[in-house]
Amino acid sequence: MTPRDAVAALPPDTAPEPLALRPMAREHYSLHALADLSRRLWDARDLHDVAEALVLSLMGQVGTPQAAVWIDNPDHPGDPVMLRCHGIPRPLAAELAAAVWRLMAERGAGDEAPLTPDELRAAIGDPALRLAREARVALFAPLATGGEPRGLLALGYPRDRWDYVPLELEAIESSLFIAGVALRAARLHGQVAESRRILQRSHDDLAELDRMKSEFIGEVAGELRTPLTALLGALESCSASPAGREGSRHALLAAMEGARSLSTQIERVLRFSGARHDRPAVRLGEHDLAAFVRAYATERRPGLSSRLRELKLVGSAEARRARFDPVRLTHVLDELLDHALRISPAGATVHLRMSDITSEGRTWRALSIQDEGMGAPDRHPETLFQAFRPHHGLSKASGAGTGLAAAQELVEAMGGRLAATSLEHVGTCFTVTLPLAGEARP
Amino acid sequence: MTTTRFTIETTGREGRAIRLSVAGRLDATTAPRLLERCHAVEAAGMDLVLDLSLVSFISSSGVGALMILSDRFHDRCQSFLLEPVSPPVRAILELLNLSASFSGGAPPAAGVR
Repeated sequence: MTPRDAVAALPPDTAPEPLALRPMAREHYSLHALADLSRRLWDARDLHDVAEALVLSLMGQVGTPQAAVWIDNPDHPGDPVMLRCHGIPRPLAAELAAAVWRLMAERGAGDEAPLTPDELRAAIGDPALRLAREARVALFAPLATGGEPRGLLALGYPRDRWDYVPLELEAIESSLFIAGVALRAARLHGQVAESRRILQRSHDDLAELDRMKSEFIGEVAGELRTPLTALLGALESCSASPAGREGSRHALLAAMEGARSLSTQIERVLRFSGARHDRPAVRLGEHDLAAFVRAYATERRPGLSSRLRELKLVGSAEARRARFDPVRLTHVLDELLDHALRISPAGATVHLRMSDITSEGRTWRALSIQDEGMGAPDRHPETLFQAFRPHHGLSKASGAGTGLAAAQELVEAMGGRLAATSLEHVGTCFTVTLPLAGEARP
Repeated sequence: MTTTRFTIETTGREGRAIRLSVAGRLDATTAPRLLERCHAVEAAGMDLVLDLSLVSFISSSGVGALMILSDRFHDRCQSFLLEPVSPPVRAILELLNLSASFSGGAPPAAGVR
Protein backbone atom coordinates (compact mmCIF):
# COMPACT_ATOMS: atom_id res chain seq x y z
CA MET A 1 0.00 0.00 0.00
CA THR A 2 1.40 3.39 -0.98
CA PRO A 3 1.36 6.32 1.47
CA ARG A 4 -1.32 7.93 -0.70
CA ASP A 5 -3.49 4.78 -0.46
CA ALA A 6 -2.91 4.65 3.29
CA VAL A 7 -4.12 8.22 3.66
CA ALA A 8 -7.13 7.53 1.44
CA ALA A 9 -8.03 4.52 3.59
CA LEU A 10 -8.23 6.57 6.79
CA PRO A 11 -11.68 7.47 8.05
CA PRO A 12 -12.57 11.11 7.25
CA ASP A 13 -12.21 12.37 10.80
CA THR A 14 -8.64 11.05 11.12
CA ALA A 15 -7.32 12.18 7.69
CA PRO A 16 -4.29 14.44 8.11
CA GLU A 17 -4.90 18.10 7.59
CA PRO A 18 -3.42 19.50 4.38
CA LEU A 19 -0.13 21.24 5.02
CA ALA A 20 -1.42 24.67 4.06
CA LEU A 21 -4.26 24.41 6.60
CA ARG A 22 -2.07 23.56 9.56
CA PRO A 23 -1.27 26.51 11.77
CA MET A 24 2.03 27.71 10.37
CA ALA A 25 4.80 28.71 12.73
CA ARG A 26 6.76 31.86 12.06
CA GLU A 27 9.86 29.77 11.30
CA HIS A 28 8.01 27.82 8.62
CA TYR A 29 6.67 31.00 7.11
CA SER A 30 10.20 32.45 6.85
CA LEU A 31 11.45 29.23 5.28
CA HIS A 32 8.58 29.30 2.77
CA ALA A 33 9.44 32.90 1.97
CA LEU A 34 13.08 32.09 1.18
CA ALA A 35 12.07 29.10 -0.97
CA ASP A 36 9.47 31.21 -2.80
CA LEU A 37 12.00 33.99 -3.45
CA SER A 38 14.65 31.52 -4.65
CA ARG A 39 12.21 29.90 -7.07
CA ARG A 40 11.21 33.28 -8.46
CA LEU A 41 14.78 34.52 -8.86
CA TRP A 42 16.54 31.48 -10.24
CA ASP A 43 15.76 32.50 -13.81
CA ALA A 44 15.13 36.23 -13.33
CA ARG A 45 17.03 38.04 -16.09
CA ASP A 46 15.99 41.61 -15.44
CA LEU A 47 17.22 43.91 -12.65
CA HIS A 48 13.75 45.37 -12.16
CA ASP A 49 12.17 41.92 -11.86
CA VAL A 50 14.73 41.00 -9.19
CA ALA A 51 14.06 44.19 -7.25
CA GLU A 52 10.29 43.69 -7.51
CA ALA A 53 10.52 40.08 -6.29
CA LEU A 54 12.74 41.13 -3.37
CA VAL A 55 10.50 43.93 -2.10
CA LEU A 56 7.32 41.86 -2.49
CA SER A 57 8.88 39.02 -0.52
CA LEU A 58 10.26 41.20 2.25
CA MET A 59 7.12 43.30 2.63
CA GLY A 60 5.16 40.08 3.00
CA GLN A 61 7.70 38.46 5.31
CA VAL A 62 7.39 41.17 7.94
CA GLY A 63 4.06 42.77 7.00
CA THR A 64 5.26 46.27 6.23
CA PRO A 65 3.85 48.69 3.65
CA GLN A 66 7.21 50.49 3.15
CA ALA A 67 10.12 49.17 1.08
CA ALA A 68 12.59 50.56 -1.42
CA VAL A 69 15.58 49.18 -3.32
CA TRP A 70 18.41 51.12 -4.92
CA ILE A 71 21.27 49.83 -7.05
CA ASP A 72 24.72 51.23 -7.74
CA ASN A 73 25.11 53.22 -10.95
CA PRO A 74 28.43 52.29 -12.59
CA ASP A 75 28.29 55.46 -14.72
CA HIS A 76 27.87 57.69 -11.65
CA PRO A 77 29.32 56.03 -8.54
CA GLY A 78 27.76 57.41 -5.39
CA ASP A 79 24.53 58.27 -7.20
CA PRO A 80 22.30 55.22 -6.64
CA VAL A 81 19.37 54.44 -8.90
CA MET A 82 16.01 53.59 -7.36
CA LEU A 83 14.63 50.37 -8.83
CA ARG A 84 11.51 49.95 -6.71
CA CYS A 85 9.82 52.03 -4.05
CA HIS A 86 6.55 51.31 -2.26
CA GLY A 87 4.91 53.28 0.53
CA ILE A 88 7.59 56.01 0.69
CA PRO A 89 7.21 59.28 -1.21
CA ARG A 90 9.85 59.19 -3.96
CA PRO A 91 11.52 62.55 -3.22
CA LEU A 92 11.84 61.54 0.43
CA ALA A 93 13.26 58.15 -0.56
CA ALA A 94 15.79 59.83 -2.85
CA GLU A 95 16.98 62.13 -0.03
CA LEU A 96 17.25 59.17 2.28
CA ALA A 97 19.33 57.15 -0.16
CA ALA A 98 21.69 60.08 -0.71
CA ALA A 99 22.23 60.29 3.05
CA VAL A 100 22.78 56.61 3.70
CA TRP A 101 24.20 55.17 0.47
CA ARG A 102 27.90 55.91 0.90
CA LEU A 103 27.92 54.72 4.49
CA MET A 104 26.27 51.40 3.64
CA ALA A 105 28.36 50.92 0.49
CA GLU A 106 31.59 51.42 2.40
CA ARG A 107 30.87 48.67 4.90
CA GLY A 108 33.29 45.81 4.42
CA ALA A 109 32.74 42.19 3.43
CA GLY A 110 30.96 40.17 6.08
CA ASP A 111 29.34 43.29 7.49
CA GLU A 112 26.01 42.97 5.74
CA ALA A 113 23.67 42.91 8.73
CA PRO A 114 20.69 45.28 8.60
CA LEU A 115 20.99 48.43 10.71
CA THR A 116 18.32 50.66 12.22
CA PRO A 117 18.39 54.41 11.60
CA ASP A 118 19.24 54.89 15.29
CA GLU A 119 22.28 52.64 14.90
CA LEU A 120 23.36 54.86 12.01
CA ARG A 121 22.66 58.10 13.84
CA ALA A 122 26.29 58.92 14.63
CA ALA A 123 27.24 58.54 10.97
CA ILE A 124 24.25 60.04 9.19
CA GLY A 125 23.34 62.76 11.67
CA ASP A 126 20.03 63.99 13.01
CA PRO A 127 18.62 65.41 9.73
CA ALA A 128 18.89 62.01 8.03
CA LEU A 129 17.46 60.34 11.09
CA ARG A 130 14.45 62.65 10.89
CA LEU A 131 14.06 61.76 7.21
CA ALA A 132 14.07 58.06 8.08
CA ARG A 133 11.40 58.59 10.72
CA GLU A 134 9.28 60.65 8.35
CA ALA A 135 9.55 57.86 5.78
CA ARG A 136 8.76 55.29 8.52
CA VAL A 137 11.91 53.34 7.61
CA ALA A 138 12.85 50.87 10.33
CA LEU A 139 16.06 49.48 8.89
CA PHE A 140 18.61 49.74 6.12
CA ALA A 141 20.55 46.84 4.68
CA PRO A 142 23.24 46.61 2.01
CA LEU A 143 22.64 44.46 -1.01
CA ALA A 144 26.03 42.88 -1.58
CA THR A 145 27.62 39.87 -3.23
CA GLY A 146 31.04 38.66 -2.15
CA GLY A 147 31.54 41.81 -0.12
CA GLU A 148 31.02 44.02 -3.17
CA PRO A 149 28.23 46.57 -2.66
CA ARG A 150 25.43 46.27 -5.22
CA GLY A 151 22.57 48.11 -3.70
CA LEU A 152 20.63 49.26 -0.68
CA LEU A 153 17.37 48.22 0.92
CA ALA A 154 15.13 50.31 3.16
CA LEU A 155 12.31 48.53 4.98
CA GLY A 156 9.48 49.95 7.07
CA TYR A 157 8.06 48.86 10.40
CA PRO A 158 5.84 45.79 10.66
CA ARG A 159 2.17 46.82 10.88
CA ASP A 160 1.78 45.37 14.39
CA ARG A 161 4.95 46.48 16.21
CA TRP A 162 8.01 48.72 16.33
CA ASP A 163 10.83 46.23 16.06
CA TYR A 164 12.06 43.12 14.27
CA VAL A 165 12.68 39.77 15.92
CA PRO A 166 16.08 38.08 15.32
CA LEU A 167 14.56 35.43 13.05
CA GLU A 168 13.18 38.12 10.75
CA LEU A 169 16.56 39.85 10.56
CA GLU A 170 18.18 36.53 9.64
CA ALA A 171 15.56 35.92 6.95
CA ILE A 172 16.00 39.46 5.58
CA GLU A 173 19.76 39.00 5.40
CA SER A 174 19.35 35.65 3.62
CA SER A 175 16.87 37.17 1.18
CA LEU A 176 19.36 39.92 0.41
CA PHE A 177 22.11 37.39 -0.32
CA ILE A 178 19.81 35.55 -2.73
CA ALA A 179 18.75 38.80 -4.39
CA GLY A 180 22.36 40.07 -4.53
CA VAL A 181 23.45 37.04 -6.53
CA ALA A 182 20.38 37.37 -8.77
CA LEU A 183 21.12 41.07 -9.36
CA ARG A 184 24.68 40.32 -10.39
CA ALA A 185 23.50 37.54 -12.71
CA ALA A 186 20.78 39.77 -14.19
CA ARG A 187 23.21 42.59 -14.84
CA LEU A 188 25.71 40.26 -16.51
CA HIS A 189 22.94 38.63 -18.51
CA GLY A 190 21.71 42.04 -19.67
CA GLN A 191 25.18 43.11 -20.77
CA VAL A 192 25.78 39.86 -22.64
CA ALA A 193 22.35 39.95 -24.26
CA GLU A 194 22.86 43.55 -25.39
CA SER A 195 26.33 42.82 -26.78
CA ARG A 196 24.95 39.81 -28.64
CA ARG A 197 22.09 41.88 -30.04
CA ILE A 198 24.42 44.62 -31.27
CA LEU A 199 26.75 42.01 -32.77
CA GLN A 200 23.84 40.32 -34.53
CA ARG A 201 22.59 43.64 -35.93
CA SER A 202 26.10 44.46 -37.17
CA HIS A 203 26.35 41.02 -38.74
CA ASP A 204 22.99 41.50 -40.49
CA ASP A 205 23.98 44.96 -41.72
CA LEU A 206 27.30 43.69 -43.03
CA ALA A 207 25.62 40.77 -44.78
CA GLU A 208 23.18 43.20 -46.41
CA LEU A 209 26.01 45.50 -47.46
CA ASP A 210 27.94 42.53 -48.83
CA ARG A 211 24.92 41.43 -50.86
CA MET A 212 24.43 44.95 -52.20
CA LYS A 213 28.11 45.24 -53.04
CA SER A 214 28.07 41.97 -55.01
CA GLU A 215 24.92 43.01 -56.82
CA PHE A 216 26.41 46.41 -57.58
CA ILE A 217 29.68 44.97 -58.91
CA GLY A 218 27.77 42.51 -61.09
CA GLU A 219 25.62 45.30 -62.53
CA VAL A 220 28.61 47.55 -63.11
CA ALA A 221 30.60 44.81 -64.84
CA GLY A 222 27.68 43.94 -67.14
CA GLU A 223 26.94 47.54 -68.04
CA LEU A 224 30.55 48.44 -68.75
CA ARG A 225 31.49 45.38 -70.76
CA THR A 226 29.65 46.26 -73.98
CA PRO A 227 31.00 49.82 -74.56
CA LEU A 228 34.41 48.76 -73.40
CA THR A 229 34.50 45.97 -75.95
CA ALA A 230 33.54 48.42 -78.68
CA LEU A 231 36.16 50.88 -77.49
CA LEU A 232 38.89 48.26 -77.46
CA GLY A 233 37.87 46.99 -80.90
CA ALA A 234 38.05 50.49 -82.35
CA LEU A 235 41.42 51.20 -80.82
CA GLU A 236 42.78 47.87 -82.04
CA SER A 237 41.50 48.61 -85.52
CA CYS A 238 43.12 52.03 -85.38
CA SER A 239 46.47 50.59 -84.38
CA ALA A 240 46.36 47.78 -86.96
CA SER A 241 45.16 49.77 -90.00
CA PRO A 242 47.50 51.48 -92.43
CA ALA A 243 48.29 54.98 -91.40
CA GLY A 244 45.65 56.39 -93.70
CA ARG A 245 44.02 59.43 -92.17
CA GLU A 246 40.48 58.42 -93.12
CA GLY A 247 40.77 54.95 -91.57
CA SER A 248 42.21 56.37 -88.35
CA ARG A 249 39.50 59.01 -88.16
CA HIS A 250 36.74 56.40 -88.36
CA ALA A 251 38.44 54.28 -85.73
CA LEU A 252 38.88 57.26 -83.41
CA LEU A 253 35.25 58.33 -83.91
CA ALA A 254 34.17 54.83 -82.94
CA ALA A 255 36.47 54.96 -79.91
CA MET A 256 34.97 58.30 -78.87
CA GLU A 257 31.48 56.88 -79.28
CA GLY A 258 32.46 53.96 -77.10
CA ALA A 259 33.97 56.29 -74.49
CA ARG A 260 30.80 58.42 -74.45
CA SER A 261 28.69 55.33 -74.02
CA LEU A 262 30.98 54.18 -71.24
CA SER A 263 30.65 57.56 -69.55
CA THR A 264 26.85 57.41 -69.86
CA GLN A 265 26.77 53.96 -68.33
CA ILE A 266 28.96 55.10 -65.47
CA GLU A 267 26.62 58.03 -64.83
CA ARG A 268 23.66 55.67 -64.85
CA VAL A 269 25.35 53.34 -62.43
CA LEU A 270 26.22 56.23 -60.18
CA ARG A 271 22.64 57.52 -60.30
CA PHE A 272 21.36 54.01 -59.59
CA SER A 273 23.74 53.72 -56.66
CA GLY A 274 22.70 57.14 -55.35
CA ALA A 275 19.02 56.34 -55.69
CA ARG A 276 19.44 53.08 -53.81
CA HIS A 277 21.30 54.92 -51.12
CA ASP A 278 18.66 57.64 -50.92
CA ARG A 279 15.62 55.40 -50.80
CA PRO A 280 15.84 52.34 -48.57
CA ALA A 281 14.50 49.11 -50.00
CA VAL A 282 11.70 47.55 -47.96
CA ARG A 283 10.17 44.10 -48.18
CA LEU A 284 6.61 44.62 -47.07
CA GLY A 285 4.53 41.77 -45.74
CA GLU A 286 1.56 41.22 -43.45
CA HIS A 287 2.55 40.30 -39.90
CA ASP A 288 1.21 40.29 -36.34
CA LEU A 289 2.54 43.57 -35.00
CA ALA A 290 1.71 42.63 -31.37
CA ALA A 291 3.77 39.42 -31.55
CA PHE A 292 6.59 41.30 -33.26
CA VAL A 293 6.63 44.01 -30.56
CA ARG A 294 6.47 41.49 -27.72
CA ALA A 295 9.47 39.60 -29.14
CA TYR A 296 11.30 42.87 -29.71
CA ALA A 297 10.66 44.03 -26.12
CA THR A 298 11.84 40.69 -24.76
CA GLU A 299 15.04 41.06 -26.76
CA ARG A 300 15.72 44.65 -25.69
CA ARG A 301 14.62 44.56 -22.04
CA PRO A 302 17.76 42.92 -20.54
CA GLY A 303 20.05 45.37 -22.30
CA LEU A 304 18.08 48.39 -21.16
CA SER A 305 17.80 46.99 -17.67
CA SER A 306 21.57 46.51 -17.46
CA ARG A 307 21.83 50.23 -18.31
CA LEU A 308 19.36 50.91 -15.44
CA ARG A 309 16.40 51.89 -17.61
CA GLU A 310 13.18 49.91 -17.44
CA LEU A 311 11.27 49.02 -20.59
CA LYS A 312 7.53 48.61 -20.03
CA LEU A 313 5.29 47.19 -22.71
CA VAL A 314 1.75 48.56 -22.64
CA GLY A 315 -1.14 47.20 -24.69
CA SER A 316 -3.24 44.08 -24.91
CA ALA A 317 -1.76 40.83 -26.20
CA GLU A 318 -4.39 40.41 -28.93
CA ALA A 319 -3.12 39.99 -32.49
CA ARG A 320 -2.76 43.20 -34.53
CA ARG A 321 -2.18 42.46 -38.20
CA ALA A 322 -0.28 45.19 -40.01
CA ARG A 323 1.74 45.74 -43.15
CA PHE A 324 5.45 46.27 -42.51
CA ASP A 325 8.99 45.01 -43.06
CA PRO A 326 10.15 43.35 -39.80
CA VAL A 327 13.83 44.00 -40.52
CA ARG A 328 13.26 47.69 -41.25
CA LEU A 329 10.86 48.14 -38.35
CA THR A 330 13.50 46.62 -36.08
CA HIS A 331 15.94 49.28 -37.34
CA VAL A 332 13.37 52.00 -36.63
CA LEU A 333 12.59 50.77 -33.11
CA ASP A 334 16.31 50.33 -32.41
CA GLU A 335 16.88 53.96 -33.34
CA LEU A 336 13.95 55.25 -31.26
CA LEU A 337 14.78 53.11 -28.24
CA ASP A 338 18.49 53.94 -28.41
CA HIS A 339 17.49 57.59 -28.55
CA ALA A 340 15.28 57.12 -25.48
CA LEU A 341 18.16 55.37 -23.73
CA ARG A 342 20.52 58.25 -24.47
CA ILE A 343 18.07 60.94 -23.45
CA SER A 344 16.57 59.36 -20.28
CA PRO A 345 18.42 59.40 -16.97
CA ALA A 346 19.31 56.20 -15.12
CA GLY A 347 16.30 54.92 -13.21
CA ALA A 348 13.87 56.13 -15.88
CA THR A 349 11.11 54.06 -17.46
CA VAL A 350 10.61 53.87 -21.22
CA HIS A 351 7.08 52.92 -22.26
CA LEU A 352 6.51 51.01 -25.49
CA ARG A 353 2.79 51.27 -26.16
CA MET A 354 0.64 49.54 -28.80
CA SER A 355 -2.69 50.98 -29.89
CA ASP A 356 -4.91 51.69 -32.89
CA ILE A 357 -5.48 55.25 -34.00
CA THR A 358 -7.63 56.95 -36.62
CA SER A 359 -5.99 59.48 -38.88
CA GLU A 360 -6.57 60.74 -42.40
CA GLY A 361 -9.92 58.94 -42.38
CA ARG A 362 -8.52 55.45 -41.77
CA THR A 363 -7.32 53.23 -38.94
CA TRP A 364 -3.61 52.69 -38.32
CA ARG A 365 -1.61 50.48 -36.03
CA ALA A 366 0.40 52.70 -33.71
CA LEU A 367 3.56 52.10 -31.69
CA SER A 368 4.63 54.81 -29.24
CA ILE A 369 7.94 55.11 -27.44
CA GLN A 370 7.71 57.51 -24.51
CA ASP A 371 10.92 58.54 -22.73
CA GLU A 372 11.54 60.49 -19.53
CA GLY A 373 14.18 62.78 -20.98
CA MET A 374 14.46 66.56 -21.05
CA GLY A 375 11.92 66.97 -23.84
CA ALA A 376 12.29 69.49 -26.63
CA PRO A 377 12.32 73.16 -25.60
CA ASP A 378 10.60 74.46 -28.72
CA ARG A 379 7.13 73.71 -29.96
CA HIS A 380 8.29 72.13 -33.17
CA PRO A 381 9.15 68.51 -32.44
CA GLU A 382 9.35 67.83 -36.17
CA THR A 383 12.80 69.43 -36.01
CA LEU A 384 13.89 66.27 -34.22
CA PHE A 385 13.87 64.56 -37.59
CA GLN A 386 16.16 67.07 -39.23
CA ALA A 387 19.52 65.48 -39.99
CA PHE A 388 22.56 66.73 -38.07
CA ARG A 389 20.39 68.42 -35.44
CA PRO A 390 20.87 66.59 -32.14
CA HIS A 391 18.00 66.41 -29.66
CA HIS A 392 17.91 68.92 -26.83
CA GLY A 393 19.95 67.53 -23.97
CA LEU A 394 22.27 65.54 -26.20
CA SER A 395 25.72 66.69 -27.19
CA LYS A 396 26.88 66.39 -30.77
CA ALA A 397 29.36 63.80 -29.51
CA SER A 398 26.43 61.52 -28.64
CA GLY A 399 26.13 60.69 -32.30
CA ALA A 400 22.51 61.82 -32.57
CA GLY A 401 21.70 63.76 -35.70
CA THR A 402 20.91 61.46 -38.60
CA GLY A 403 19.38 58.40 -36.96
CA LEU A 404 15.91 59.86 -36.41
CA ALA A 405 15.82 61.26 -39.93
CA ALA A 406 16.74 57.82 -41.28
CA ALA A 407 14.07 56.20 -39.09
CA GLN A 408 11.42 58.56 -40.43
CA GLU A 409 12.49 57.74 -43.97
CA LEU A 410 12.24 54.01 -43.29
CA VAL A 411 8.75 54.31 -41.79
CA GLU A 412 7.57 56.35 -44.76
CA ALA A 413 9.07 53.76 -47.11
CA MET A 414 6.78 51.23 -45.38
CA GLY A 415 3.76 53.45 -46.07
CA GLY A 416 3.59 54.68 -42.48
CA ARG A 417 4.31 57.86 -40.55
CA LEU A 418 6.71 58.74 -37.75
CA ALA A 419 5.76 61.73 -35.60
CA ALA A 420 6.88 63.15 -32.27
CA THR A 421 5.37 65.14 -29.44
CA SER A 422 7.56 66.64 -26.79
CA LEU A 423 7.15 68.49 -23.52
CA GLU A 424 10.12 70.15 -21.93
CA HIS A 425 11.20 68.50 -18.63
CA VAL A 426 8.62 65.73 -19.17
CA GLY A 427 9.84 63.76 -22.17
CA THR A 428 9.34 62.95 -25.80
CA CYS A 429 6.94 60.50 -27.39
CA PHE A 430 7.65 59.09 -30.84
CA THR A 431 4.73 57.43 -32.59
CA VAL A 432 5.12 55.06 -35.51
CA THR A 433 1.90 54.48 -37.44
CA LEU A 434 1.64 51.60 -39.88
CA PRO A 435 -1.08 50.54 -42.33
CA LEU A 436 -3.41 47.72 -41.38
CA ALA A 437 -2.91 44.39 -43.09
CA GLY A 438 -4.73 44.23 -46.40
CA GLU A 439 -4.60 47.95 -47.07
CA ALA A 440 -2.94 49.17 -50.22
CA ARG A 441 0.14 51.27 -49.82
CA PRO A 442 -0.80 54.93 -50.25
CA MET B 1 -1.83 16.58 -5.40
CA THR B 2 -3.76 18.78 -7.82
CA THR B 3 -2.82 22.41 -8.33
CA THR B 4 -5.49 24.89 -9.31
CA ARG B 5 -4.42 27.11 -12.18
CA PHE B 6 -3.91 30.72 -11.12
CA THR B 7 -6.75 32.87 -12.41
CA ILE B 8 -8.17 36.34 -11.80
CA GLU B 9 -11.74 36.95 -12.89
CA THR B 10 -14.10 39.84 -12.60
CA THR B 11 -17.13 38.43 -10.77
CA GLY B 12 -19.01 41.57 -9.81
CA ARG B 13 -19.34 45.23 -10.57
CA GLU B 14 -21.57 47.87 -9.07
CA GLY B 15 -21.20 51.62 -9.06
CA ARG B 16 -17.56 52.42 -8.50
CA ALA B 17 -16.71 49.03 -6.96
CA ILE B 18 -15.43 45.93 -8.65
CA ARG B 19 -15.00 42.38 -7.34
CA LEU B 20 -12.11 40.25 -8.56
CA SER B 21 -12.01 36.55 -7.68
CA VAL B 22 -8.59 34.96 -7.43
CA ALA B 23 -7.96 31.22 -7.56
CA GLY B 24 -4.82 29.08 -7.22
CA ARG B 25 -1.44 29.81 -5.63
CA LEU B 26 -0.63 33.42 -4.87
CA ASP B 27 3.15 33.37 -4.74
CA ALA B 28 6.22 35.16 -6.14
CA THR B 29 5.40 34.03 -9.66
CA THR B 30 1.73 35.02 -9.67
CA ALA B 31 1.76 38.08 -7.36
CA PRO B 32 3.00 40.44 -10.13
CA ARG B 33 0.01 39.40 -12.27
CA LEU B 34 -2.34 40.27 -9.42
CA LEU B 35 -0.62 43.64 -9.01
CA GLU B 36 -0.90 44.41 -12.70
CA ARG B 37 -4.59 43.50 -12.81
CA CYS B 38 -5.41 45.50 -9.67
CA HIS B 39 -3.39 48.52 -10.82
CA ALA B 40 -5.73 48.75 -13.79
CA VAL B 41 -8.69 48.92 -11.35
CA GLU B 42 -6.84 51.50 -9.27
CA ALA B 43 -6.05 53.59 -12.36
CA ALA B 44 -9.74 53.51 -13.29
CA GLY B 45 -10.51 55.11 -9.91
CA MET B 46 -12.61 52.18 -8.71
CA ASP B 47 -12.90 50.52 -5.29
CA LEU B 48 -11.77 46.91 -5.13
CA VAL B 49 -13.02 43.81 -3.32
CA LEU B 50 -10.71 40.83 -3.67
CA ASP B 51 -12.31 37.45 -3.25
CA LEU B 52 -9.53 35.10 -2.09
CA SER B 53 -11.80 32.21 -1.11
CA LEU B 54 -10.25 29.98 -3.81
CA VAL B 55 -6.62 30.80 -3.06
CA SER B 56 -4.98 27.54 -2.03
CA PHE B 57 -1.70 29.03 -0.83
CA ILE B 58 -0.33 32.50 -0.21
CA SER B 59 3.39 33.15 0.13
CA SER B 60 5.18 36.19 1.53
CA SER B 61 5.22 37.69 -1.98
CA GLY B 62 1.46 37.35 -2.14
CA VAL B 63 1.14 39.09 1.22
CA GLY B 64 3.58 41.76 -0.05
CA ALA B 65 1.35 42.35 -3.06
CA LEU B 66 -1.67 42.80 -0.74
CA MET B 67 0.32 45.29 1.36
CA ILE B 68 1.18 47.33 -1.75
CA LEU B 69 -2.39 47.31 -3.01
CA SER B 70 -3.83 48.28 0.36
CA ASP B 71 -1.39 51.19 0.63
CA ARG B 72 -1.95 52.43 -2.91
CA PHE B 73 -5.73 52.28 -2.77
CA HIS B 74 -5.67 54.00 0.63
CA ASP B 75 -3.42 56.77 -0.73
CA ARG B 76 -5.93 57.43 -3.52
CA CYS B 77 -8.90 57.34 -1.14
CA GLN B 78 -10.22 54.18 -2.82
CA SER B 79 -11.42 51.21 -0.79
CA PHE B 80 -9.59 47.90 -0.84
CA LEU B 81 -11.03 44.88 0.93
CA LEU B 82 -10.43 41.14 1.11
CA GLU B 83 -13.74 39.37 1.32
CA PRO B 84 -13.93 36.46 1.76
CA VAL B 85 -10.56 34.75 2.27
CA SER B 86 -9.72 31.04 2.26
CA PRO B 87 -8.49 29.31 5.44
CA PRO B 88 -4.83 29.22 4.25
CA VAL B 89 -4.91 32.95 3.55
CA ARG B 90 -6.62 33.69 6.86
CA ALA B 91 -4.00 31.63 8.73
CA ILE B 92 -1.13 33.62 7.22
CA LEU B 93 -2.79 37.00 7.79
CA GLU B 94 -3.43 36.04 11.41
CA LEU B 95 0.16 34.86 11.80
CA LEU B 96 1.30 38.32 10.70
CA ASN B 97 -1.44 40.14 12.66
CA LEU B 98 -2.67 41.65 9.41
CA SER B 99 -6.28 40.47 9.40
CA ALA B 100 -7.63 43.81 10.58
CA SER B 101 -5.64 45.70 7.94
CA PHE B 102 -7.66 44.23 5.10
CA SER B 103 -11.13 43.89 6.53
CA GLY B 104 -11.89 47.12 8.38
CA GLY B 105 -15.16 48.93 7.80
CA ALA B 106 -18.08 48.06 5.58
CA PRO B 107 -17.49 46.89 2.04
CA PRO B 108 -17.58 49.75 -0.49
CA ALA B 109 -20.64 48.31 -2.16
CA ALA B 110 -22.47 45.59 -0.30
CA GLY B 111 -24.14 44.45 -3.49
CA VAL B 112 -20.89 43.53 -5.18
CA ARG B 113 -21.11 39.78 -5.43
